Amino acid sequence: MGISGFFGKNNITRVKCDIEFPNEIYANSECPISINLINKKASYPVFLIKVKIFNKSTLFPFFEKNDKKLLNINLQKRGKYILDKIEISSPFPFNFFVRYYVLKENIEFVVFPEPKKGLTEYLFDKRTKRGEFETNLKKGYEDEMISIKDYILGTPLKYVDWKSTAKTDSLKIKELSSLIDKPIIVDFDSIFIKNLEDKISLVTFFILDSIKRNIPVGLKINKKIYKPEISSFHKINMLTELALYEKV
Amino acid sequence: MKKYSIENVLKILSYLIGFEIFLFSFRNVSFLYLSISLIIFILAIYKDFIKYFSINRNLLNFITIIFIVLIFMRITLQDIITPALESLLVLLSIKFIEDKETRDYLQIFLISILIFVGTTIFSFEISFIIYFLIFIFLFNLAIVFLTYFSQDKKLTFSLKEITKISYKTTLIPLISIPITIFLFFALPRTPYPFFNFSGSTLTARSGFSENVKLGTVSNIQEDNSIIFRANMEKIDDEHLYWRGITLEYFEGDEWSDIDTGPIDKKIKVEGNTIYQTIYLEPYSGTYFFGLDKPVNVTGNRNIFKKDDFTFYTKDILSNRVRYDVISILSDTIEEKIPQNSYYLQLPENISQDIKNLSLSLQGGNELDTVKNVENYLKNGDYRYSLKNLPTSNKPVDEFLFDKKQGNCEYFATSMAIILRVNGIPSRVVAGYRGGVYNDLGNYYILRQSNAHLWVEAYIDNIGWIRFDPTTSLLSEEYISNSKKISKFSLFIDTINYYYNTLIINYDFEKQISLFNKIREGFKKPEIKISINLKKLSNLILIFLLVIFLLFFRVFFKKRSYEEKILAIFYKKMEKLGFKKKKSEGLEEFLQKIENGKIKESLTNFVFKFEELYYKDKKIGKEDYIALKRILSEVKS
Repeated sequence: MGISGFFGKNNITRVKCDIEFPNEIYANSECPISINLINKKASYPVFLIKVKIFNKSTLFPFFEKNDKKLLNINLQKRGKYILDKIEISSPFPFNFFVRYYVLKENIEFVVFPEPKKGLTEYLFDKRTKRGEFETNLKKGYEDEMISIKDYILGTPLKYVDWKSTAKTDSLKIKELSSLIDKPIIVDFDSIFIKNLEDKISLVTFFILDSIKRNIPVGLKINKKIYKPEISSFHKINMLTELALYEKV
Repeated sequence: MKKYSIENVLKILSYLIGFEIFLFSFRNVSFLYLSISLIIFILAIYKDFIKYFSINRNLLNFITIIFIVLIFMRITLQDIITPALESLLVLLSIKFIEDKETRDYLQIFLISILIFVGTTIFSFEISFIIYFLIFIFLFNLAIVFLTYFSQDKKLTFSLKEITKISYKTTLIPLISIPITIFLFFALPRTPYPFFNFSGSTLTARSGFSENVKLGTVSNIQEDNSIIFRANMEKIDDEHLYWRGITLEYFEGDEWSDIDTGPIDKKIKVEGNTIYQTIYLEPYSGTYFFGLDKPVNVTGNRNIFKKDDFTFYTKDILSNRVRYDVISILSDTIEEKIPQNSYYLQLPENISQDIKNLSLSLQGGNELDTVKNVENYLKNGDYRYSLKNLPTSNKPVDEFLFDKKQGNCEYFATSMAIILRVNGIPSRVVAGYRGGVYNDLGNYYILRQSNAHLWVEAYIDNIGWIRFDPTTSLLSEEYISNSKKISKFSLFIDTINYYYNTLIINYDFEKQISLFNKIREGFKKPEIKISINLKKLSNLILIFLLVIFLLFFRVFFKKRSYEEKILAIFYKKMEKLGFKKKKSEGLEEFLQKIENGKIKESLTNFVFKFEELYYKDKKIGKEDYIALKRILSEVKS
């Protein structure tokens, strides 16, 4: 018993644990954290170690120098997180006892909001039903006309197509082709969606989607303006802003 | 690189352990049990490595219970370990044939340890050390891999990893074995035995001392605790007198031991020599007990010998003590004692009744008188009892003429007094009588309840002869109170005995004999397979039952109604001369039939069947009967 205890203890001591987070972590989705265990014992390998982070654990069955594993964690909420402890445990050698120790860490990281598709659809759908304000994000105001449609509240008068209005006795507007590849600024504060989390999620997806499609996108939020760009650094700044956003 | 699943690694290790257990223990179990367990074990190998088949776990549990009950039924006083081993071996193989989870593996390992330890009681040969080492290393590995298995059943390892894990973890037994051996020698040992059901701590038992007041021995006899164990060969019960103290001086209600002077050089005892090693429990006396007549007692203490063949030490024996005795089995001590000795001493107030009785028992010579007295007490109106003893100030009179019941104290005292009245020197010997022999450990168990007093009478030209006047006629209360030794307690006692002898009293001598045993084992390795025909009859039934049930489950698995009805259908078709190809669908199959009537009713069947079958529902009993009816209506 004593000897097995000694072996058990020896097994989990002098094991270094390096944690690496991916650059972008989104709420409510699988995020692979890379765990690198390094054995600092000169001649004895490491057996059956379990590393536990945020209540998720992964098993390192056997290694001599080091071993790298990905641990998928899933964080439900956006915002700032601090990883303050890593639990390292092992039932080695006989499963009589489980030995463990807790590594004190102080790793800060930001979980971006969960992206949700459909900002534009959401806005357009609600508009007709509720007569709510719409920002014409997708639809353009210049270039050639694609179609004529019913007046949307808030559309500048210059887009009213008087000809068809006269013909049909109801106010019609010209719909112009969208401003693809043209920089967009999302005015966060003036988007009216009741549920803040939904709003943040929808905007997040919009930003990600735009950048993926090479459309420079900016963000106006909390009286700060991020000018439209497509760089990854810029994207992360905006997402961080959204992740940490709190209603004032 | 090829990967091996943890489960396979564990399986191989477990089977290796199982195989070793068979190899190690087969000499000590009967052929029958060996074959039952071997068959199951081989079936298990077939199941785990060649072709999987399922076995009903409830059935196995049932068989397991049968074997556990069997263990208890078959245990006898003479042999406790063998039936236990045999049943455990079958249990082990049943565990192997089960679908194994973590706990099943643990059980396999546990049973293996039990069998292994059990077998070591029988054989201590040099081969044991090899078996032991292999067992320890396999066991260590198996437990390590079981730990892996318990964490993740889907782990896989390359051969290189397996080798490395095995090689590195083998360090654990490599370090622990020497440390264990060191600790075995270095650590002080507790004198408390493994099992102490009475809950009492190690306290000295009351026992014989230089003064024995009438009625006090019964207190000793009512105590059922063990006073000593004597390791020796088994001998006839009639010789089982364990001599302790001789008592010469009687004061009316109390015997005392007085110094009988220097040893007479002419003392002679003739008979068979018996060697005993006695493990005496602590008691409040100073005397060593030995088989009558002990001629030599040796131990770690200063032991003094008296000329009446009693041995004592100066201090009270308040610790467990081990000593060796050489005894000569004899009723007689050839000796000449001086005339008018204290062996004729009588209390002053001896009654006329006793004197009269004594005279009436006189025979033609001294020996006749002694025999008359013995016969009068032993076969007369006197009954044995531990209750309602004569305790007045004239207890001998009370016993002889009033109550007529008592224990050995009264019988022996009366005889000694009557002999002395008749001028025959006599003394009372206090000690123990009888004992239960434990074949497993080769020792006699003597309890306080075995305490006994008997008489030695001195006959001129012969010497001291032992007489036991205590009747075998028991009083009724005594019968109802007599205690029996249960088999279970005997088994437990064996463990305690081994604990005492091997752990507490481990000494140099034992090491030497151990060494000799190992050497002997080296010289003549022998393999014996014994068939016990007696056991055969009551076991053959179980054997057949087990095998039948097993094979029944393996080869006649319960078929579903779908399978059954299809089988009937195919049989029918075969009768009609059609054989279905594997690739053929049922409807396609029917196209072959040319006879319109048969085709119609069979099509009816197939449609009905398919309707049920493709409903994703199991065909129940009622559907089965309905389908069967349709088929039976089809006539060729």
